[in-house]
Amino acid sequence: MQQVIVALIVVAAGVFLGRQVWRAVASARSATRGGCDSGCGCAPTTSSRTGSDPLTL
Amino acid sequence: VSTSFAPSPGGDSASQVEVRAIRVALVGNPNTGKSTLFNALTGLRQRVGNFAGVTVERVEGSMRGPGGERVTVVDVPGCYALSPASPDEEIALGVLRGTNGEPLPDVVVVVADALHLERNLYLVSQVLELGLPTVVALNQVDAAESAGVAVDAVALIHELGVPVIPTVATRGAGLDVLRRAMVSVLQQPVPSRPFTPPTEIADALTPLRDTLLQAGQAPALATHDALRLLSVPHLERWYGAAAHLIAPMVDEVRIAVAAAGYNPRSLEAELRYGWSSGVVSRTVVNHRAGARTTSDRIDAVVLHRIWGPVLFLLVMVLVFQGIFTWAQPLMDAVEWMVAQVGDAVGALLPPGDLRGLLVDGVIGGVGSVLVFLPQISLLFLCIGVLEDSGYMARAAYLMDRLMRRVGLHGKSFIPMISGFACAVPAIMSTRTIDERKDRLATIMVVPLMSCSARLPVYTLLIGAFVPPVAVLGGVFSLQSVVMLLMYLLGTVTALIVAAFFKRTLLKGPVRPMILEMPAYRWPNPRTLLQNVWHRAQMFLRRAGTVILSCSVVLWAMATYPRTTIPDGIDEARAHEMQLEHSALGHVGKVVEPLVRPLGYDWKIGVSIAASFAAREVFVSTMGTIYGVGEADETSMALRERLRTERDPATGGLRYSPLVALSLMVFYVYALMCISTVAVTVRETGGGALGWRWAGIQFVYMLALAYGAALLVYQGGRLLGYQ
Repeated sequence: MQQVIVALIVVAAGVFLGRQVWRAVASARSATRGGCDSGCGCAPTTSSRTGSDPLTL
Repeated sequence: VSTSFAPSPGGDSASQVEVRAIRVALVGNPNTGKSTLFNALTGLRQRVGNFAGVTVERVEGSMRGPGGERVTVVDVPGCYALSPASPDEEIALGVLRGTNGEPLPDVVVVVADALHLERNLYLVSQVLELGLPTVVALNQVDAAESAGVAVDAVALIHELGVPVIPTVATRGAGLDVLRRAMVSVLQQPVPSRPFTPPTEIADALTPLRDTLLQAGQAPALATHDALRLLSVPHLERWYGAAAHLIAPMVDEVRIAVAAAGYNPRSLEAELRYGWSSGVVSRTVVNHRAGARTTSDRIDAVVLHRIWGPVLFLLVMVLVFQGIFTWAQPLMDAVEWMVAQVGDAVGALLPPGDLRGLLVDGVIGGVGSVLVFLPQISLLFLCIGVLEDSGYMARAAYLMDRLMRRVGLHGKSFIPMISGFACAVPAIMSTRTIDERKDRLATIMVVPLMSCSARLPVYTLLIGAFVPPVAVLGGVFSLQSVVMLLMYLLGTVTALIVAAFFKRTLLKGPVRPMILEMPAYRWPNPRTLLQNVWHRAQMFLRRAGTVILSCSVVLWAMATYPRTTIPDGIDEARAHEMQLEHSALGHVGKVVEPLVRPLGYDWKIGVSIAASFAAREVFVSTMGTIYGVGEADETSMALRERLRTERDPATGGLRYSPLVALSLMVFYVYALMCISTVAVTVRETGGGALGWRWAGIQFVYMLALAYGAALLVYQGGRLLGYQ
């Protein structure tokens, strides 16, 4: 019985850690605006000025 | 936005309007107390500080209006004008214009610093032109009064045509009136442009204004934007590929404006400051104009060419001395409590795997990290005092000359100092830096600043291997001096690496720094304690989640598979054999050849590998390994175990001060933090480019860590140390 409880705890901890790593990677992948423009090699994947701003003619 | 207006016949003005939900944007110049006001209104605990650039993201909170309305308050980063130069200012503009997926706010509250009203009115004038219901919160009126500045709020209402509410957000003064004004302003006419440009200017702007109207621009914004465009240096930054469509027209208007005798680049600033200067002359009385303030007198010493840097160094030494010395009794208490809990749980449960998991894995692992809670709290308290007092901006000013030699300016030093707490918000705070290459160079070096997660590693190793003897005339202990040296090593290396980036990949001119010097003030104890409590909660949450999970998994790896121990072997050796034949032991043996040149054994090797999840996991892994490998069930402090650990092969001590120094140097440089990698990817633009910058950062820091640790260990051995 003890070993079953231990196994469950260890598996849960492993799943939790895996989820944390996945979330960190997903948060990086969902990156949008970093505020950088082209020129220094760090252009954002989606520009902050391409929305509904009428200034973007 | 679900704001609806349902007239109620015969009712008073308040009951005539039924507002179900209101969206309020809090805007203002940096360091005017927006976040403090936001916290006071919503009951949230958004980070506040006495320097510009604390808030770099939009944050939402909610509150109830005086008539029970659901009010969503959006706190945005501070900005001096609606012509954003840096990413955080772009966020503010996006909220006000309802772009980038943001709903348009129903009400704008402009938080203006009563002490610096003339400068704050620049932004007020731009917000008024947006045509949104606006309230001006005249904040810090107490500080203004102390400085002999009296603002006539009624006269200001007449000048601006919108409600002006004097407030002291830190004390909650004026908030009830502000809450009412935030709702009642919806019934009032929207504000109009507070000043009229000269006729020749208005005529010159007409073609540009008409083009913007044809492009779908709202009439209220068209003149505003036409005026703004004249001073925008790089149109492509705003319009991208479409810049060439509008550029000829902007050039024509600039010529017309110049022909009328105005400088088109400074026209907007001249018009707005001309107006705000007039408003201030009619509404503000300064009883002590020209007098030297207390802040001026303090700055005479703090910003002195010689005494300033000396004081800065002294402050840093005091901080580390304090962290090491004052936290010790509390750390001893936590250590004792962890040991008691371990012993109690060990006595309660029958021998077996569950007891091993709880005592060695959970309590041994998490407990060894929890010991550092007092020290980390004290670090955040010290950083909070520096931030809240106004010293942080002075430190940036002091460092400006040095930073310019590196190729950055003093503004980059604020994220670097914030990096002493945590690299993640520090990297995000680089959004206040206007120049893209400077921003990127700062992001690349911020993780070299020793964050609070390194503190447990340094403290464990210093506590175990550096004697607590007095140095420098008996004032400071050797332990705190070694700790300070680790922080200095990271800081100096960050400057050198930044210089390298600014001369190679991120070459660019050094721009002058313009930084607002906030007035000195006594740190608010409530805010300080809230901040420390918040950080302590975050640390405990981390200990209870990531570190706990790592400890459990590593315990399992250190325990299984079970090996058959031959008869006649003493208990200590049997535990050591079990550990070596476990899954963790096998991984350790694979890692060991890589770390052996640095003076580390397999236990340190796997602890380093595990600490890629979080740096503190190094300590918890060592705690777990030594918990599993411990022959008896008594709980001995981890540093004692490290100090007395003997190599079974030679019988000599396994770890030496040289190994500890090599390990600390490794941790000064290594980027062992998934969250930092993720935030670097995000803040450098995301996608393949973001991953590329994060990859460069990770690899150069790991190479630096390995090389420096190798140099320390092998160099030390060559000099005769063991």
